[in-house]
Amino acid sequence: MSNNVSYDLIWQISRANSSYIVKRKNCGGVQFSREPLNVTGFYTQAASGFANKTAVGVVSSPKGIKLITKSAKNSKSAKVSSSTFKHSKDSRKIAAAVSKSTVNHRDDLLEAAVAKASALARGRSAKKVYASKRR
Amino acid sequence: MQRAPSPDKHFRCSAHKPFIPSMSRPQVSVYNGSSVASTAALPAVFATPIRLDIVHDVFTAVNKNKRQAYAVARNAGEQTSAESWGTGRAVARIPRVSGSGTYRAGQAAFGNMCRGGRMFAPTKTWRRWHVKVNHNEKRYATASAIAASGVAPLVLARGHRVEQISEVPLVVSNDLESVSKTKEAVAALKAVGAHEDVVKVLNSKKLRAGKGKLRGRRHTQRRGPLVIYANDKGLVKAFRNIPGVETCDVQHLSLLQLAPGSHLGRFVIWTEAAFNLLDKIWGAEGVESAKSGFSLPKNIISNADVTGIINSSEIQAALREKGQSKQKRTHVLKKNPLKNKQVLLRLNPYAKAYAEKKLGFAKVEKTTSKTPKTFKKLLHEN
Repeated sequence: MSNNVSYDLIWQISRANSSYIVKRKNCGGVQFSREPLNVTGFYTQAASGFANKTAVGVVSSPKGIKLITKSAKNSKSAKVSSSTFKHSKDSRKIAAAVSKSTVNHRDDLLEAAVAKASALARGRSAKKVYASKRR
Repeated sequence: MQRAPSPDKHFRCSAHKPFIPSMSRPQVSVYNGSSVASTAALPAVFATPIRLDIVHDVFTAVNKNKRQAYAVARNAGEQTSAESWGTGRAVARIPRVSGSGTYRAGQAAFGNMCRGGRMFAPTKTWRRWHVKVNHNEKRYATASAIAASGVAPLVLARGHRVEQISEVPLVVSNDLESVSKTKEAVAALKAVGAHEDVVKVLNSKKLRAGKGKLRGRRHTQRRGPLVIYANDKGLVKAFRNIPGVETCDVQHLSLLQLAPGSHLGRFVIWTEAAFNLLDKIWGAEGVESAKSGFSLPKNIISNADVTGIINSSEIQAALREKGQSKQKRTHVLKKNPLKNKQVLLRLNPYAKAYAEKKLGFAKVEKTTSKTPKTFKKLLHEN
C-alpha cells in the first residue's frame, strides 16, 4: 500500500458497496457483513477486517474453530494467519485461547470474538437428549 | 507550550506508525511461478489519488459508448387510414379506423392510449447514444483505477480471491507472455495462487434473470483476473478460454476492465515488461508521459494516514493538555437540588457551611424585646 492510501480512504471507497455487504431493507436497513475477518457481523469500519490494519476473525471449519488474524506486517498482500482449535476441546478453553490471541491484535473486539467462538463451540457440541418422561 | 518537532526526526509512535516517505521508491517482487525472480520499482501511477467519484462518473459515461442503436419501426401503429369522426357522434374525437365489415373498423387508432396505436414518443435511432468525456478526465479515472488495483484490501472488497497471492500488485516474469497453451496458462495461474479467483468465476455461473437470456446474454458470471501484457507471444490465445480471465495490452488499458461496474480494485496480473512500461506511458518524476498534454494528478497530502499523524508522539507532545469540557450539557436529566448535595452546592455555595454549622437545626432564639414599660407613659405624656 503506497502512502496515497489510508485505511480510512479504503473504508470510504467501499462502505457503500463491497462484496461482503449484506443490505436489507427491513429492520431499519441493517447492514451485515459476510467477511471472514469480522467477528461482530456488522458492516462497520471498526469491525471490518479489510478496512483495518489489524483484524481478527472466528470461523467454523471442518477441523474445528478457526481463528484468523491479520497483522500489520502483511499489508502488502491479503494473506492472513490462522490457528485451529479442535472441537474436542473444552469450549471454555477455546474461548480462553481466542481471547488470549485477540488481546494482542484487537482488544476492542475481544468480547465479540469470544462470544462468536463460544457460540460456534456450543453449536458444534452434541445436544443432550433426555428421554421423555411418562406420566 | 509548543514544541516544534525537530526536522531530522520522523513521525514515530508505538501505537500508530504512519508511513514514512522515503527517497527510494518501493519495490515490487517479480514472480516466476511461486518464487521471486527479481524486483521492479513501483510505477508512479500507483500513487495516483484514488477518486471514486471521478471513476464512477467516467465509467457511467464510457460504459454507454458501446451501445447499439435501436428503435421501433418508423411507421409502427400508424398504418391505418384512420380519421376522427368529429363532434356530434357521442364518441371521443380520437381518429377511428374507417370502413365496415371487420372488427377493426370504428376502433380508435394512432394514439398512445389506443390498442394497436403507436407508442408515446416513438424511439428513434438518432438518440444520443454516445457520451463525450474529457480526455484528461478519462485518463485520471484510468490512473485511479490502476492505483486501486495495487491496494490489497480494495481488491478483496471487490470480491477477488487473492488470499493466496504473495503480493499486490502481482507482477510475473515475462515468460507468461510466451505461454501459448491454455493448459500452461492455467498452470501459471495456479503457480502464483491466482487460480482461486478462476474457481470463483466457475462457481458463479448462473442463468441471467430477464429477457437478456433470449438476446445472447444467457449466463452471468463474476470477473476473474485481468492479465496485462506488453508483447503478445501467444498469451492472448492461451488465456481466452479460461472463464472470467481477461487480457489487455498495457498500451490500451480500459476503465471498463480496470474497474468493472465502477467498483475499484480489479485483480490485475502484470507481466514484468508491461509493469515496467507503466512509467513511460503514464509518466513519473522526471519522465514525461507518452500521453500528450498529460501529467499524473498529485495528492493534496503526501501522507494519507491522517489518524497516524494525529496520534504520533510529535503532534501529541505539541498539544495542550486536555482540560475540563466547557461545553454546555444539554438534554441531561434535571437533578433535584433539594435531594442532590452537589447540585445544591452549585446553586448555593453557602449550603456547605450552613449544613456544617447545623444552622438549620438551631433553635430560633426568642427575642424578649418587649416594649419598655415606660413606652406607654412616654406616649401619653403631654
